[in-house]
Amino acid sequence: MASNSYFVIIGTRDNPLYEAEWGPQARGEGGKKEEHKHLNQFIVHAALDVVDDLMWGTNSMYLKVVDKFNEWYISAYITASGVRFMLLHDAANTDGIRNFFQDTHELYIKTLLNPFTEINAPITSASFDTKVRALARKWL
Amino acid sequence: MANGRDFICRLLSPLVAVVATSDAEELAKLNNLPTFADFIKPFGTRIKQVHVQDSQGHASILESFSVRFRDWRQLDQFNPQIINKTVVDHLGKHGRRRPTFPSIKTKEDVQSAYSQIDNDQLTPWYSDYRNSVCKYVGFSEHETFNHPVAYLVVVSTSNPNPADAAQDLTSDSQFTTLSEKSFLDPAIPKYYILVHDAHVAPGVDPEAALVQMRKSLPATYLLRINSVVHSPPSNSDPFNPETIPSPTVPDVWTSIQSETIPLLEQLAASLKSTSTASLASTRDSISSPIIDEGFPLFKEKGEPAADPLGASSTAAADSPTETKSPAYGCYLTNDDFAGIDECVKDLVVQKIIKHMESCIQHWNEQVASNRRGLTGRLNRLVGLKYFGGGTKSQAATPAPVTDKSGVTVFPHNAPEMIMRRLADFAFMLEDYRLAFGTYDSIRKDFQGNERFVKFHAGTQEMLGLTVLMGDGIGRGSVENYLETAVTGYQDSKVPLYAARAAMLYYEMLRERGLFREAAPLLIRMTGEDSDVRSALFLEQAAISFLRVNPPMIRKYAFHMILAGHRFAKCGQRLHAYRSYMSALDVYEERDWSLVEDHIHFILGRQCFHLGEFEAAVKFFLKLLRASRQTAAQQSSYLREFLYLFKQYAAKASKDDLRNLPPLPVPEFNLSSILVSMIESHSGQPKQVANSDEAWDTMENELFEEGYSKVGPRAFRTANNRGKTTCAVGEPVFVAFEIHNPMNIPVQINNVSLQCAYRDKPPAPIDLTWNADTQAPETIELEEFDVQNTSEIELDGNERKRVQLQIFPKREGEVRITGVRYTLCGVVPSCYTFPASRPGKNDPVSQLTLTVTSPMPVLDVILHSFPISMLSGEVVRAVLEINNKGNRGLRNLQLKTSHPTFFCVGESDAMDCPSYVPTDNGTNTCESLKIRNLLSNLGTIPIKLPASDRPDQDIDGVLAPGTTTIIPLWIRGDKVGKQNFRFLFGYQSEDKSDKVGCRTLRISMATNILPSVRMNAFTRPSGRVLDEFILGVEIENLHGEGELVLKQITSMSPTWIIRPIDDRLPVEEDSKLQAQQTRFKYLRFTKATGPLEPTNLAKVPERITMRAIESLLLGESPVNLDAPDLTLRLSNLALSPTHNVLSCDTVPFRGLSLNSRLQWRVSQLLAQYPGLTLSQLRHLFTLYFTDDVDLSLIWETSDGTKCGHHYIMGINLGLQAPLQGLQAGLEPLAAAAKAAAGRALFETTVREKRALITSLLKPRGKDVSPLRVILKSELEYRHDFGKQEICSVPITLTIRNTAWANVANFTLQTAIPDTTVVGQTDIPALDAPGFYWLGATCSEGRLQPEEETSVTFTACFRRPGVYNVNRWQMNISIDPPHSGTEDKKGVASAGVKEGTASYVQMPNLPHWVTVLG
Repeated sequence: MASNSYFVIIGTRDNPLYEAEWGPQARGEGGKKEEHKHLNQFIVHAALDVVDDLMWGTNSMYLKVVDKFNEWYISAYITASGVRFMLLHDAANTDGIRNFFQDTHELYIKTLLNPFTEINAPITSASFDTKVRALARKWL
Repeated sequence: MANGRDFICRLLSPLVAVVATSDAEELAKLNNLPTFADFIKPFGTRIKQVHVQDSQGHASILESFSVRFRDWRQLDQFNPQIINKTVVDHLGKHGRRRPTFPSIKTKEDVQSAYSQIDNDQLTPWYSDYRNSVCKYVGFSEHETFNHPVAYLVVVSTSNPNPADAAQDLTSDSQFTTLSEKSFLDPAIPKYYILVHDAHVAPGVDPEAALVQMRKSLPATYLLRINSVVHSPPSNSDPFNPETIPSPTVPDVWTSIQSETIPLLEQLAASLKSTSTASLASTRDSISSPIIDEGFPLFKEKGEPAADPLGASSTAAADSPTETKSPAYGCYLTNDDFAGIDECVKDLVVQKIIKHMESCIQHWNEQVASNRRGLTGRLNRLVGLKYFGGGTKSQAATPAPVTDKSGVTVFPHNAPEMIMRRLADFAFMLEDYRLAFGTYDSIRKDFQGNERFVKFHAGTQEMLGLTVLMGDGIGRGSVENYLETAVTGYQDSKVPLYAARAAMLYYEMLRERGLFREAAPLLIRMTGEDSDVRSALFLEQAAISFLRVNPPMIRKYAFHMILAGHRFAKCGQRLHAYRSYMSALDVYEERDWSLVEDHIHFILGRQCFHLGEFEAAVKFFLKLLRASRQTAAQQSSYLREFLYLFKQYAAKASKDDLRNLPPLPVPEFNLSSILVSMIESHSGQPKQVANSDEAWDTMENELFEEGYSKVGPRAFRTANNRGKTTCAVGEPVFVAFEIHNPMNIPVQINNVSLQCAYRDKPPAPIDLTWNADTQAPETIELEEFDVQNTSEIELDGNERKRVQLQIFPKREGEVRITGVRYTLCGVVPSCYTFPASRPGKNDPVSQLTLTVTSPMPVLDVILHSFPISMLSGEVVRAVLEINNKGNRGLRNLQLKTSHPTFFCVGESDAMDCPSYVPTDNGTNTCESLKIRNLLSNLGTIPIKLPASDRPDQDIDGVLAPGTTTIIPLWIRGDKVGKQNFRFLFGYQSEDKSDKVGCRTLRISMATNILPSVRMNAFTRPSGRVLDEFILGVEIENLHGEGELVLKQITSMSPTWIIRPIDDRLPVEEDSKLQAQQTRFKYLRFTKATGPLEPTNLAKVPERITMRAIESLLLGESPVNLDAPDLTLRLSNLALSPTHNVLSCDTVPFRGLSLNSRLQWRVSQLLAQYPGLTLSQLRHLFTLYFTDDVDLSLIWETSDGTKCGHHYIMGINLGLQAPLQGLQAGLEPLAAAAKAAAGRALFETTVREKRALITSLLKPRGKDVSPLRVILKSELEYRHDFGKQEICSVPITLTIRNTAWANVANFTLQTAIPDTTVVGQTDIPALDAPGFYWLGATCSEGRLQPEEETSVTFTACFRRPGVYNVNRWQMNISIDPPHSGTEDKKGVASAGVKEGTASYVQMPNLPHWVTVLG
């Protein structure tokens, strides 16, 4: 994976439910990355405003690239329950991201099927994490 | 500032340069204003209702019109650095006021918080910046807005010859240098003002002077002002506040002066700080010559001697501006004020606007229209380059010049410059159509030329602005115009202009409510070159996001963070702090951990630098937590926090430090708190936390069973839930678990308990940790000492158990309120335990210690406790019992969770083996006296060795500090992993001690592996009435090899085992291979004769019956007075090589009794579910008469392990032991039932009925108690020829096996059926093979244990094999006698009804062979 990405599932209270990072920077190859990890969160959180704006203008759940910050793009996907999938990435890959979002959505629904899941509770399941990372390898 | 449009109109309004004589300036100074320009400045914005004509001659009215007056010396560009400095200064000033933004958490907050607030109120520092940049950029070569439109020459009437002075002024050398700037038009008109102040020039007639002046200078106006109070001020203190009259005219100066003065001060400061020689190099090279000459006002400050007016006046002028808000123009009268107004308006309307209009007219005709035509276009295309002087008019066209610093300058008379002035003039007069057209056409001139980038950018900027201002005039995208303008300005290195352009646009967009567009515009302007500007713009962008509908608060928060970052970079800590704080509101409580960490970190750092240590510490504390943060990041946070705290601690008082919030690291696990008297040993049985109900149950049972003598009150105090009782002088160990939630190792130092004695506040312990000197081991206080642990290391995410000690020194109550520690040797903190909740198992409640007089303290160590053992194996462990207290210990009791597993011996039985080999052969019998009661199970008194001291009573007492060892035998009673709990209880030797008893808990685990499985069955012996055959099936389940079966032992009050045949030798092979099964057959014989009738009452069954009766009759329970029972142990070796092992050993006895007890209780409980344990104890005995327990002793083939198995509860009675009870109790039951119907307390009755039902339910075999054995010769030889009939006596022996019941029987021989066997030649056609002869019926009555025999005669008519076992017996049983005489009536009433009757028939044939 040459490109860096940061994926986060955001609950309806604007709280992150699940976070993951991929790419050279996440592996610490970027060097300076450490200090800027929080920036990812900042950027994605700020992009939520744009998502709020755009979500009413389309039928599809996948909103494509919603925002841009410096060299970063933010793609978004919004589920029926108002949970948002946000992906921060530095390379355009519309179809791959769409597939990634759709598959992750399915995973997320499976997680929700667990009767003990609360809708805004952080997802700590290790298998969810593994599967999302596998999807990321597949599509991103 | 009314709105953006006004702002722009005022900003881009005609500029009039003011030139004043020194005496005129003096007048201004009397009004506390530095220059006359400042004096007149406000009046330029007060012009209303102005008629203007556009280029087409159409007249229009402008509602308001502004003219900017500026001192001619201030026309030049300010150095951008000066402006920046000023802005920073402003920012700092605003920051010190600690402005706060309304808190925004959700979108809903925005509407209420922001709808009422203007941006200028919200961010006055931005307005300041905007004003500073926009208003004071000074003139530039590329635009003409800041080029003076006219000069205003001011002279005073105090001047003897005002006209000459004015002339001199304009011809002054300084002034001419200014005019020589090539891009400035030197030919602009000059207007003159004659200022008259009657107090300064009392003898002058202003009118005459005006007339005089107008002779030579027609454009002269007269201005009257009052510069001195009507009563002259005292010379000693001219600025005494009392002497200053309150201003009578509106104060129009303050706002403008407040903008200007800081800028000028900065300038002065920079001039002071740099020498004149280096001054040129720091300034723009273009303006340097002027600057050298300019700003004489500030030179006065630097060189007061050079001031012709003298130092005194300078000081007088300076001091008010610096020290207090000066009363500008306070001496003016209202007439003066109106006069100035009027004068300025006349000047503007009559002269300046007229001049501008004519200029526009002129240029439009002369230059612009030329260029608009075809020729113009051609000229523009080629003329400049190739036909330098092609036509006449163009021959005079001055070409642009590039000076040595690379700045291209058009001379003022170049057509481009004229066009630009034309457009600017049109813009000023709000003729936007003309302005747009003209700008557009000069834009084309500048397009595409590298050298003209700045000019091009200027036109772009103006085009965009015109579009915005002109409401539909012009075309093109505003964004594009701005984009090119900004890029152009930046390319030509004038970022200030770029910023100005952006700000002007922003003003307009804001006015139009286009915040969505404004935000990106502002964000675009944030570059790396200026942090101040970026910060301000980002902040404005953030606010713009809030004003978008719907508000974008997340964008707002993000940009506030970015702004804060920039503020921090340029040292504006207060602003950075404010920005981060307002962003934090949005991010808080949303779990964005990294974001929160970042914000808290920055806030903490800023607070620290701002000197707000407490806030800083609070922010840093929020960082010390579990998060996704990397270890490196966390450790840097921690490092910074520690550093910061050190700084703080150096300054803060002790109270401040003490009041700090508790540290979040490490975390304390409350549920893990364990207060104990005993130090936990490593590798030894762990003391268990008491948050377990099983312990509580055990404790209660222990108290009830072991310490009931102590009295309930006594052990209430000991058992006072939660409270820990300890004694003076003995350490109390408080153990708890701490957890480091962070990913990095931390260290805590000087860990000690914080305690409070009685109601006193916690004793302060302030130890500063010092790595060099050894911290004291204990901290000594008045009422107690506290242990101090100097260092505990915690790895990342590590949980660690910490144990601390407290040594109470005085009786009373000590509360352990918390734990003091020092994080990383730097940060002292105290974790306070929360107040205990009333919950039963709250671990916190144990933290209150009741300190009593000295007490014994028990410590038990288990030695050689097996980790794993075979099922049934018996192992000896050793209990090491230590008394660590200060008093002797007595009455030690042990309660275990698995009573059948353990047997406690006495200290002298330490070497007692489990089984003692004897030399008595292979079959022995021992007897053992036991109490035939269901005693307390599992509570074992431990007999302590008798004290050496003679004065002690019989109780063993363990003296303080002594140790004793007690053997403990463990038998693997049940397969599987077992967790044993040991609960020790003990008391002080001091009988008057109030504490009662203390307990100690220990738990151990052992794994029990399977070894032997044993089954047994019995059946009555066919030969002897009083014997049973026992079959034992033994299977070796031990996976690892053979077992040697050593012996079988029976334990019974009445029965013993014997070999099947005493004469037969014992089998050789007693080894049992793995998975092998073997059967052994044995005989049970009765050891005792029939019971004496006198003993009948002592039979256990009888006692039980009586107890049940009395229970049912509702009598108060009496203790069962079952007499002691002699238990017979008969040992039978299974191998001839082994002699019998004696089972009368301490461990075997104890273990067997425990097992029996356990089995008996559980069996009874299952049988009578309605009864409680204590009821059972009052009803049933441990053994019934016919009960037998079997035990098999084995050892492993290597002899290392040996053990035994049990088969419990074989009952050899024919009838159930309580047979007949039902019959006897029926009437009682009926009575109880009848009572139930009438009872008020229905539930009580119902319970009782259930109890009766459960007691009466028939259980077990309900058979006749009579045993019958038929005896006869097996073979008869009879000569049928001699005698036709062979008669044979057949004897039936009948025995009543019941222990109490009298049985009546009627025995009748039965008609034999065709029972002939083997005699085929004689068909059994008409008759059975034999007949009974004589009496065929017998009746009798059998007392318990009585035997009788009846003889019948059978007669056979022919030879054959006959089954003679053919009879039928009817048995009826008399109910047992009721125990007490007074119940006789009831009992006898039941005799008739309660008779049980049985029919007994033979089930096995008895063959008799009759030979012919």
